[in-house]
Amino acid sequence: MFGLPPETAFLVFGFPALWVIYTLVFLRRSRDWENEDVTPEDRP
Amino acid sequence: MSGTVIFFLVLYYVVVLAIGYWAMKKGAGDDLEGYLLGGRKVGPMATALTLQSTSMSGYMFLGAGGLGYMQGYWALWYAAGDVGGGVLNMSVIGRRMRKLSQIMGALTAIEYLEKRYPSPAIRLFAGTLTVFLLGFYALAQFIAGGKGMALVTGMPYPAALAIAVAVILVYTFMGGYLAVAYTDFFQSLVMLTGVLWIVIACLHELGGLTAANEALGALDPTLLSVWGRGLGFQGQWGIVAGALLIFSVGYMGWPHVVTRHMAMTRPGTARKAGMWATLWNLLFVPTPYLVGILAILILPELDDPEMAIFEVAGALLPAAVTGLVMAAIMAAIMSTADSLLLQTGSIAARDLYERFINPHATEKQMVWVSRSLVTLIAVVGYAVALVEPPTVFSIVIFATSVLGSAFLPAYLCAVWWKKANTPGALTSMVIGALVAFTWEYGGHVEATRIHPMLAGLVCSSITMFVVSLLTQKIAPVPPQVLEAMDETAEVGPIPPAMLAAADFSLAPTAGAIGRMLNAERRDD
Amino acid sequence: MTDRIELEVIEPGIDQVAVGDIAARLAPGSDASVQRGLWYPYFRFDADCSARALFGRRGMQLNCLVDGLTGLAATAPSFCSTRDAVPRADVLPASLMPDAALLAARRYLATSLGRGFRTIADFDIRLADRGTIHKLYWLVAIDDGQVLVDSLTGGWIPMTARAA
Repeated sequence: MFGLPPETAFLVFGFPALWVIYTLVFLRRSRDWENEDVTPEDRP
Repeated sequence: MSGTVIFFLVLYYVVVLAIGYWAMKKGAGDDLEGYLLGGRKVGPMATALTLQSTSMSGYMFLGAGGLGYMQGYWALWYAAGDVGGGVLNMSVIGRRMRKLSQIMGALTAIEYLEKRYPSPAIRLFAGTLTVFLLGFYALAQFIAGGKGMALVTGMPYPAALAIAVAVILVYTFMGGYLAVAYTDFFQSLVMLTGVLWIVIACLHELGGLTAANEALGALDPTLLSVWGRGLGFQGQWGIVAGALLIFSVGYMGWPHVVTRHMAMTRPGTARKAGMWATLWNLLFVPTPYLVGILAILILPELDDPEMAIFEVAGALLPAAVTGLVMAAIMAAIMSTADSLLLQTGSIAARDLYERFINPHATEKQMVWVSRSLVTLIAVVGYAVALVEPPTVFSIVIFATSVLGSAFLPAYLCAVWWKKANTPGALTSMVIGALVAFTWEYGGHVEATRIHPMLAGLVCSSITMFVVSLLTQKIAPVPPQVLEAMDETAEVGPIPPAMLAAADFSLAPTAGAIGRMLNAERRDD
Repeated sequence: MTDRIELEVIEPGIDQVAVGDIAARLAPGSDASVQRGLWYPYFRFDADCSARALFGRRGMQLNCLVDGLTGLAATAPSFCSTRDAVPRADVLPASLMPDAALLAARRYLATSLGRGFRTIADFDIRLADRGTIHKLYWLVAIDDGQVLVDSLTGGWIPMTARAA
């Protein structure tokens, strides 16, 4: 890919892709964190 | 550099100053008051954007480019970890640390450690080590500023370095407020645009990434490998693991970075900041390394590889763009240096001088201590940077390896492991710092092929677990710390949804009322 | 007849009825009841701060409150205060000495200004002592737990083991 050996291509594109997946999983698993974003003005 | 570059560089500063002046007149003071009232909203995007760009600018523009120029694609091991550093930090300790620090009433990252692991020795060791390492880290910014200034102005390096250090000192003593509220964001965008512009110009010049890689392969196929120029790092997984860890998990051990968690206005900011950090890092982090790699083809005879990005910008970009981009880079370097020096001065004055030497110190004395230390760092830094300047890369790797090795288990276990106690934390910090330091300077890297970060981190982690477990009986974790950790972990008799939305800034008040009510009950 | 004492207090924004409504909405289906109100002491200072910034000296006035029990200082938005007679049994006495409160306020402001302006400077901070002021907190029982509710902001925190 792009003239790079496979392992280098994985280093350049694979690792960032893994972090993107990690971020997506984190966003999904932390949905309830929004509950904590209640400012005094928002409180009932 | 041409007069046009200098003209646009000056123009950039004039515009930034004008924005600052306008902002001050139009209510920047109100913004500051808002900040002092705790109401300043540092949004997730700005948090993420400025986290990377303003805390590591010297490294990104000199160290990363230089490494790419020297080692080819091997340099990307550092970027591979770094891309995830922000989101890892936010997801693992961000929200919990914010809560725990509020519950315990800690204002600084060093004070937080002392409250979680109650002992003056924790504060003394952590404060001293941080002052030393952040001072050292500031040296990298001096060198970066001096080299950049020399290139832009054409002045001799000693004079350029003197100007860079002097400007940083003035910035620190006079107030770099302008660079905080209104220009950090702008500056980060200019930097991002700048490096992307440079890499696009490189790719355009070389006929695209595939053509560039083919040319690199023809020049030296090992530049395309993951083992470095001449396969110098082949099979050295100990070095590779350290390169991956240093800017990923390592972030969680840097007091000057984790202190930002404590200032987040909303706990949920950590969530979105994690997302923005990944987006920003995907664009920003690998780019300087890539520019360094491509510079091998564009400027094959560079004397100083760490100047690769500046030199490539000068060679490929229009003079006006070069001026603007370099001005933004220089401003970011100044801002990083200023930020490091302020934290160093503050820790020396508050966490060490006032806490251990003169508990009745007046504000004037504290300012004097801070300023003296910062001046000393500047003078020593100037001398070192002048006589035998180490590479920016080596300084940053050394400082961050020792910081990460020493503090990562302490910060991580502070929120995740209830058995982590004071003896465990203290010995872990000492062993982590010692191992990383001696690994670097005792020649162990060459002998063992293991990165100082990996060696230090493994030793400090093992020490934390073993010593904490062995000393549970003689040094149990205090009940108030365990209670605070329970609340941080969201367990209790209160409905979970309600607990999740609790206002933890009320924690000290609730604690005081709880103690009073308990005393009342005992009296009855 | 309840023994009452006249105090300078921060006017509560949330009364007993409102706090009951908050509790009912927070934990629907739970057994929530307002147990008592507590008047919490703060030392109040008017701070006149000035600092030399890049574009000349800039001054600002701030309210600084120092927690009368823990000694923690904080700046506060402007609020309405009044003198009111409140039940003596519900007033928590300050355990902090006024001198210590003054020192805490000065230190807090100097640190915050340094951070805000991002500079190491000897700020000119003049503090006018405005005496003690009390703020109302509500203790609310929800099932087996207890929650403390701030009468000004409506913020809450579980008391959990602290006041069990």
